[in-house]
Amino acid sequence: MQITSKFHSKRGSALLVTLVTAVVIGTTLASYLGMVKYQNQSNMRSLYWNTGLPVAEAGVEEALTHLAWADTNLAQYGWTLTNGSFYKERMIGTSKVQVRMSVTNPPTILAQAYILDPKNNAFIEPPRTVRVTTTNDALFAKGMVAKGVIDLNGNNIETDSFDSTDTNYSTNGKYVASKSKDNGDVATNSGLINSLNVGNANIKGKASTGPGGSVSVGSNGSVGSKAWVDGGHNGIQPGWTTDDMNVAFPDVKVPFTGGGFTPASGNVGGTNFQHILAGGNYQMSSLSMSGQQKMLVTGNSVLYITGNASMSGQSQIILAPGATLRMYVAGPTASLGGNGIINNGSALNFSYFGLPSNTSLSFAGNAAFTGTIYAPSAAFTLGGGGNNNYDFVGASVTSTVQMNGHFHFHYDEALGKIGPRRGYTVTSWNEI
Amino acid sequence: MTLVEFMISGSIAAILLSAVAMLTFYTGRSFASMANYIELDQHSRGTLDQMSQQIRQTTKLLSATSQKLVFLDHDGSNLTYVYNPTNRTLIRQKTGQPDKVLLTGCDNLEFNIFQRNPINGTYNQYPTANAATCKLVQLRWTCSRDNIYSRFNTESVQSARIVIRKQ
Repeated sequence: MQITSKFHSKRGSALLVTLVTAVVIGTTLASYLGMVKYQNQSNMRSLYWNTGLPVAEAGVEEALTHLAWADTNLAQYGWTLTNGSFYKERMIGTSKVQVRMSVTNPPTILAQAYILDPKNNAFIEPPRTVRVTTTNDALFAKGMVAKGVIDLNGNNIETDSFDSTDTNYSTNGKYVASKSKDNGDVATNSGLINSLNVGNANIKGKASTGPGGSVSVGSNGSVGSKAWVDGGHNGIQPGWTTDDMNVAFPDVKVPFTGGGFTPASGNVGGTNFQHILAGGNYQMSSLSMSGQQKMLVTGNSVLYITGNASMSGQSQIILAPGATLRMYVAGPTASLGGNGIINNGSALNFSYFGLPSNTSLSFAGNAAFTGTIYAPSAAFTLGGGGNNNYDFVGASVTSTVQMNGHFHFHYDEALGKIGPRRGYTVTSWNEI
Repeated sequence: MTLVEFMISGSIAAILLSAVAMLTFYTGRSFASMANYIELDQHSRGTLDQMSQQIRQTTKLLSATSQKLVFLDHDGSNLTYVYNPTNRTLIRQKTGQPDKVLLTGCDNLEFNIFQRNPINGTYNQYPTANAATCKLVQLRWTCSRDNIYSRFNTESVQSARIVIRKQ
């Protein structure tokens, strides 16, 4: 059978079909490419947006590092005083950060991050900008701080706080029980079980450990507010413990190089003194005081002991009114016994610094101690405690704490306000 | 043209047309899925960028569950992110401002909080249940959208850990 086609071949029909097909495929391809481009742009926008933040924060870090190392002269190491603020610009990879620090103290830091757009080879505007305010953090922001275990092993141990610069919370700058506060915090970085053994002590303040750490309290121990402890409650008041303690303890540096004076002996007011420090830098290979030996400090003095320090018998270090002593000990052992440090001023007047090689510090005897201890590598042992409640006034930062006897530990909150600082930290962070 | 020739050519044409129809069908589905995914991804990514910027500069976390976070914002007002599994939405609530739907089509969403301390030897932080000690917030969600064919291949998963800078 022969079928005759009704369709006559037409010239150009194949071309038309090809063209239509090409248009359909082309449109589809163009749409795909458009979507891919759109997605790519979206990804790139997000990438640039998120890249800007670490670049800006790198600028903030740069400023904080500069504050820590440049001391008082901030116009150095590439920083210039420009238009009333300290300014630095640097490249980080292909990105650029401009950092400005106000001349105020503590400074405000403004960091602007510019991200390079490879398509145009130009920085994207506007920059991502971060502004932070800072504070020069207190070295002694809490009463008793340690890297490791704190063991308050003894009877009638108590911590609380006062403020030697506020007459509402002190009398003539001295601790008075009736004006005490409840910021006698005890804190450890340790995350060990029972890393803070309160025993039967009364902690008028917060007890803090590192993550996973725990606070052990004896049957007569109490941790909490002044009202909680004075109210006769045992145990831990809800909300007065935390387990997120995480503080860096920078090492103590040698106070000076090039040597210092050797303290001379002498007679002052009819009393013989083994060592007299009249102000300035003093250096000794070791300190050993016993019997009735005395040291007198009459000016603002720094004493660098390259070896061990030992006080026993009835020896004592006497700070004249208005005098200050910063004692640095590099030897492995220091023992502040005898009659201790006679400091009728505030805790700011006497400071003990243990260098990294100072691994043991003991505080014995019945004399009161007014001052601060910063020895982050030293195991701190306290024994004795006298018969009154004026035992330890100030603050301590050590590696561990072992407290025996019946110490009363009074944290002076003035140390947090006007005491030594440990460096600038960020207090607020805003993106603008 | 003989009948045999007609049948053969008809069969070939049918095969070709079927192939074209199939190609059109799959291309259309792929096209729809891709368009869906791009839009979904863009919304998720934009939401994540916004939330990371806002959470980063809050003052502190006030309360937290796996589906709701309440922050004290930098301006002193409360900032809340709440997930509604029934409506599949993530909503931002801020005092003095109208509620804003950040995500739709959210199949699951989970908030987790962590404290500041890093776990030794890792880049992770210790999880916490206490909002007062929260330093990091982890967000994780999965969104999907229906298209004319199916829900497959139109999921967008986002996850991030955000550090509260002021805490």
